[in-house]
Amino acid sequence: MLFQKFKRFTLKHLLSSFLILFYFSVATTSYAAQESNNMPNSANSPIVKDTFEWQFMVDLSLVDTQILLTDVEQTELWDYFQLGLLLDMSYKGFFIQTNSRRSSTALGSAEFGYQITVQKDWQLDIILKAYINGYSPDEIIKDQEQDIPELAGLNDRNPAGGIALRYSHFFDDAIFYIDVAAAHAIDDGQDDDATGVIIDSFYSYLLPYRNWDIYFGAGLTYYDQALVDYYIGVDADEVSSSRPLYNADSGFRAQLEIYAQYPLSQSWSFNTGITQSFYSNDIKQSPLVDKNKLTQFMVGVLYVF
Amino acid sequence: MYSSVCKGFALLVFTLFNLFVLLVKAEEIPVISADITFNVQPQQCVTLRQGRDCFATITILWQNQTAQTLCLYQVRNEPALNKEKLMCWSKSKKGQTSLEFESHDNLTYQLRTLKGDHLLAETEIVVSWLHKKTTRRRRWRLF
Repeated sequence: MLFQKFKRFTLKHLLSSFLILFYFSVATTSYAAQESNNMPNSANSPIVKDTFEWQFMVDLSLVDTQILLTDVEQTELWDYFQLGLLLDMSYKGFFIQTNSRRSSTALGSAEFGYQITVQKDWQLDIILKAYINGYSPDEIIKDQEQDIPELAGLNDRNPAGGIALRYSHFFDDAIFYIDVAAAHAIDDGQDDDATGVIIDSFYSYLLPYRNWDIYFGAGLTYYDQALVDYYIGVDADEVSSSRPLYNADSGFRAQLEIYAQYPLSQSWSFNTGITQSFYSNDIKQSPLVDKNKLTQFMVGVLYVF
Repeated sequence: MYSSVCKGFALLVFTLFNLFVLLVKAEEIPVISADITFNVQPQQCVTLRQGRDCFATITILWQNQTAQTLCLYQVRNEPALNKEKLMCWSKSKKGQTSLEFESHDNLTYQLRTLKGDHLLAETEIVVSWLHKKTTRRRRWRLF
């Protein structure tokens, strides 16, 4: 994600979400209906779309993360803890999945999609998801131990949702996918929104070692100028003595990642991972940003219902 | 700030410790001969995905009231019944060994007499999994 979450979930909200989802997950006893759903695609190549399956997981992690915005750091206990509610569900080609582990936003990180075509080695989906989380400068400053004049009085940045075409290619122990998305930052009625293209690609290689799954990942993402400018640009009405006018250019993000999972029991797994992100150098020219390299580390447990 | 982090870390360690205690909890071993104790630990091997090989180092310990030559067998039921002799102890009252377990199916371990091939004790190591086999191909991505 381009920008880290800034609206902190309270424990109360997280627990409420957890209890509601826990109720619905235990109230339903069927795990998966293993019916086959073969739909002809062409004369000789039937495609098999996902049948009804679901899986609900709860993830409790300790996360050490850096944030792009100037002088913003993790300060509170709950900044380090993430409770993730992960739901995967599919039916006749439609699916919801939260396997991108942005657990701090709970189910807000889910992808809703439809499998246009599924072939042996590749797949084409249409996806609806939140690509960029917004942030509220005033809320951020409240949580910080020092004042941040670069962010004080800045307008809120809303999340950007997008509709994308996703091409996935499957290898024996690897997957590559690329999303071409039209993203739009939600208009809050202040005539201050943005629309642009995001091209997000990721390659993940699985190395099984005994009972461990070790994933090596690399990603490259392109963000349209309008979107980058919306999140880290400074408009004329936002200029202050600490915050000059700034128009941002388009940007890139490269990522390297290692993620490992180990089963502790039939319901619990141990998970750990580290991601290194490199953003375009240009973004540091924004008065709102003071770094373009982020290291994020997580360690935690996952409960599978 | 750092004291809060320490508290959080302690909570996580406590959770993991409780999980570990649950995992290592021993179970009663079915014994065919009342004169012999046959202990295999762990009794369960958990893999991440259904159908994948599960790995574990298992410890086998037996004790008998009379000295006998006994042999340890590994019995695989799938895809066909296959009984493999792993080792024997010559005229002993007790024996111990460690083995590397690798299987995607349950395996049975048997203790049999060398002479007459009588079954004295057996136990099964159950292979279970966290994620059920699915047609969906997951895309793990951390941040």
